[in-house]
Amino acid sequence: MHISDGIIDTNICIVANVASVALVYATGKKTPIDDIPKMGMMGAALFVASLIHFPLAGTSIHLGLFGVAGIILGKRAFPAIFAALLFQSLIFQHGGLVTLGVNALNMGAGAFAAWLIWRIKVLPESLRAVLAGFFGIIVPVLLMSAEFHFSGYGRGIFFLFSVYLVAAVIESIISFSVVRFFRNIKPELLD
Amino acid sequence: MNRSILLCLIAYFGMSAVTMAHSINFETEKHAPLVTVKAFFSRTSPMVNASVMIYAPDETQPYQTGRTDRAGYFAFMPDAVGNWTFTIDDERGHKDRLVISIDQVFFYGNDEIEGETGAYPGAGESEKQVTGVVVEKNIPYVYRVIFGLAVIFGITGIFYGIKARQALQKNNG
Repeated sequence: MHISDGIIDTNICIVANVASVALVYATGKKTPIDDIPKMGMMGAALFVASLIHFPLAGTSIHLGLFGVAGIILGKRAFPAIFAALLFQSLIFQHGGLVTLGVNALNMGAGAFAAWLIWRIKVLPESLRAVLAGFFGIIVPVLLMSAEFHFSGYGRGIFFLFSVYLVAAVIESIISFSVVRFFRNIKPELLD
Repeated sequence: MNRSILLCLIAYFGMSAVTMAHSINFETEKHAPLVTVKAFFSRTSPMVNASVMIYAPDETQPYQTGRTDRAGYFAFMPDAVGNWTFTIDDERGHKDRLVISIDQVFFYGNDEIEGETGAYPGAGESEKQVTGVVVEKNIPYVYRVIFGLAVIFGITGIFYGIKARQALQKNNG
């Protein structure tokens, strides 16, 4: 899910980097002091989660936790995602540094979608958690597939989408479990 | 607040600049009797045509010199057990050194080709003895994870401190 350097046009990457730094500022400013440790913890969880790979259908998938980030942090998930991606790129070359902005916007969109789903209070909480986990992965994968497609990599890249459907199901289960856990242990984290 | 934004920007572009200077990564694969080292900046950016020097354990004169190929690979045949030193320099400011531990050799300098196999002594056994591929990196994976987590928590602490001080000043003022 992490796009490496040299795949997306550099001009698009520069625009995405500027946009994502602006978004980090916009979503991170006026953060209540109590949210900062949550963002730190979530950033650390995102950083580690993406490093856990599962082999599948000749490729490998990894966890994202963008749905969980969206549920717990809302719009403030973006700075946490940006920080996690920055350090994954710097330390593990997992995702490019030039494409950092594109990756952050893709995955931030997943967290944002999860947050929007989580706010639909008319749905039962468990269903919201499952859908948030699912779309937290599917939205970034769709965006990434589209970006690859428009960069001239053909339709084969949509194969990734089918592989990541499995990841999305796993994320749904994780998201559901996390919500259940926090509802019992620390419900104020979810409200 | 303005100062914290400035700090963030300095941190972001500062780190970008550090990485633009490129850290060199290594992957060492031992296929008896060969040891192959791949040098790369990132998965899509191998260290091409870089000058390499190989030093045998406890020796100051190079055992072998050469250049990496277009995929960033360099291969050599160690003839002694111990810590071999691999130095690389792309002559554009990127240099690094890698110590490769060799615990088994299949080639003994000039004492070659005197066996039944007509090949390096031990070559017949190599396939049995070396199963799979050993991949080593210059910094262990788990250390990198811990480093990343430490930096993330450190930044969180800095922001928490800034916010706490602002709140304190607000209360006092």
